[in-house]
Amino acid sequence: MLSAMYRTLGMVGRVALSPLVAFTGVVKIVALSVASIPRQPWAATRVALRRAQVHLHELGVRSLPPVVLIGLLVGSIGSMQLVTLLGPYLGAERVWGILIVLVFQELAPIWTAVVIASRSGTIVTSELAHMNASSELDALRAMGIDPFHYAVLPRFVAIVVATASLSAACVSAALFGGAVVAIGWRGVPIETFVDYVHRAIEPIDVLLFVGKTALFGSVIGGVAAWYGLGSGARRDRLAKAAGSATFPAVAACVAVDFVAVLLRYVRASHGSGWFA
Amino acid sequence: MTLRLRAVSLELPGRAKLRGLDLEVGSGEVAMIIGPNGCGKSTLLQLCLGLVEPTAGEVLLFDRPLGAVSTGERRRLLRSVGFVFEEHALLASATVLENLSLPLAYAGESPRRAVARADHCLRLVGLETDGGRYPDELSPGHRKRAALARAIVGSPRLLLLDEPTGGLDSLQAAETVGLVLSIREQTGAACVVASNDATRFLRVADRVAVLHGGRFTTQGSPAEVLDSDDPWLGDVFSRLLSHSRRMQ
Repeated sequence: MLSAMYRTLGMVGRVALSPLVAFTGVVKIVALSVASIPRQPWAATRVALRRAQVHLHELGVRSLPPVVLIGLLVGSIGSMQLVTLLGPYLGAERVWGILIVLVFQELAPIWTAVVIASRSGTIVTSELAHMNASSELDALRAMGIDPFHYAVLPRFVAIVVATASLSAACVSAALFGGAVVAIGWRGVPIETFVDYVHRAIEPIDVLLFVGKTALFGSVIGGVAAWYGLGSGARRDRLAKAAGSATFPAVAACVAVDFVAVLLRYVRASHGSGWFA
Repeated sequence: MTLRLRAVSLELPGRAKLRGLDLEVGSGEVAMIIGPNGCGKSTLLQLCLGLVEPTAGEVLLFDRPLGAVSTGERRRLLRSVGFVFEEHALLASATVLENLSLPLAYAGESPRRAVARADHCLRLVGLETDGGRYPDELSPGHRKRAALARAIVGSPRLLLLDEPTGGLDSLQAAETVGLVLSIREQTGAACVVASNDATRFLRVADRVAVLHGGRFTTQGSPAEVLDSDDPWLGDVFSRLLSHSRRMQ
C-alpha cells in the first residue's frame, strides 16, 4: 500500500518536474553548442559553416513551399473573415490594420514555427538520434571533435535562420493573400493597402519580429536536439524520439509567444508600450 | 608508455562489468584482447578513449591520466589515437573523403592538406576511387577499410581496433589483418586489438590478454597464453579441435 503510494507520488513528481528538466536540458544544449564556437580552429569553423549551409537547404529552403502556401491561405481566409464579420462595425481601415498586425505579430510566426517544428525539427531529431545510435557521436568524441560543434551547432543555426527567414516569407505570402482579397474582392486601391501596411507595422515591430522568430527557431532547434541526443544508443527509440519532439517544440513556441504578448500588454497598460 | 590501465573497474547498468584491469602497452607494441562475446572488450576500448569513465582506477594515455586532464587536453590526446569501432561509425551524411578529412580540419590542417592526406590514406587501404561515395554505398568490407583509413589519417601513435574482422568473410578478414599489419609497420603505432578472431591476430601480437568474467584471466606473450591453463581458452581450443575433427 505504502510502496504503491510512493510509486504514485514519484510518478507525479517526475511528470511535474519533466518540463523543468526539459527546459534545463535544452538550455544546456544551446549553451554547449554556442560555447563550442570559440574553441575551434578556422578550418573547423569552415566545416561547421559548410554543414550549416547544407542543413539550411534541407531544413529551410525545402520548407518554403508549405510555408508560402499556408501564408497565402491564412492571409486570404483571415481577410475574408475579418472583413465580413468586423467590416460593418469597425470600418475598412481598422479591419485591414488588425489583419496586418495579426498576421505580422502572431499568425505568420506561429504557423511557420508549426511547419518548421513538424518538418525540420523532426529531421534534426531523427538525424541526431541516428548519429547517437550508430555511434557516430562517440566516433566524433574519439577523434577529439566536439559533437556539439560538428553535429548540433550547424543544425541549430540552420533552424534559427530558417525560422526567421521563412516567417518573413510567410508574412509576405499572407499579406499578398490579404491584398488579393482587398484589391480583387473589396476594390481597395493598391496604394491604400500599402499605406495600411506602412501604418500598421512600425520599425520596432520588425525588430521584435526578428527577435521573436529567432527565439522560436532557437526553441525548436534546442528541443529537437534535446530529443535527438536524449534518445540514447538504442535504435528502437529513434522513431519515438522523432515523433515526440514536435508537440513540445510547438507548445514551447506558443508559451514564448504568450509571454511576449503578456509583456507587450503589461507595458502597454503602463502607457509606455510599443502598442500603446 | 602509450597506454596504461591501472586497476580499472566499471560497473554501470547496461554495460559489461569490468574489475581491476591492469594493462600496459608500450610504443609500437601490438596487444590483443580476446574473450567471449559480451565480456566487455568494446567497453574496455571505450574506457581507453574516455568515452566511458571508470568507476575505479585510472586510464593513462601517453602517461597522462585521462580522467584528470582538461577537455581541451583530452581532445589533443585523442587526436593521437586512431579508433575503429565495431560498426565502423563513419558519418553517414558525409562522403568517405569528408569522413577522413574531418579530424584533420579539427586539428587545424588546411583543407588542401587535409584532402591530400585523406587521399593518401584512401590509397593505402585500396579505396582511392571511393572517396566521393557515401559509407552506405560501400560494401561492409570497404566500410571497415574506410574506417581504418579514418583511424590512421591523423598519424596516430596508438590504434584501437574493435573487432576489425567482425562481419567479414574469411578473405576480407585476411586482407584486413594484412592491412592492419602493413599500416602498423609503416606508422610504428602501438596497436590494441579487441577481437573474437584469436587465430588471425595471435601470431602477430606482442601481448595477449584474455578477458573473461570482467577480469583478465590470463595475460602475457602469445606463447605464454597458449601454454596457460586458461579455462575459456581451453574450452575454445577443444571446441575448435572437435569441430575440425568433425569436418575431417
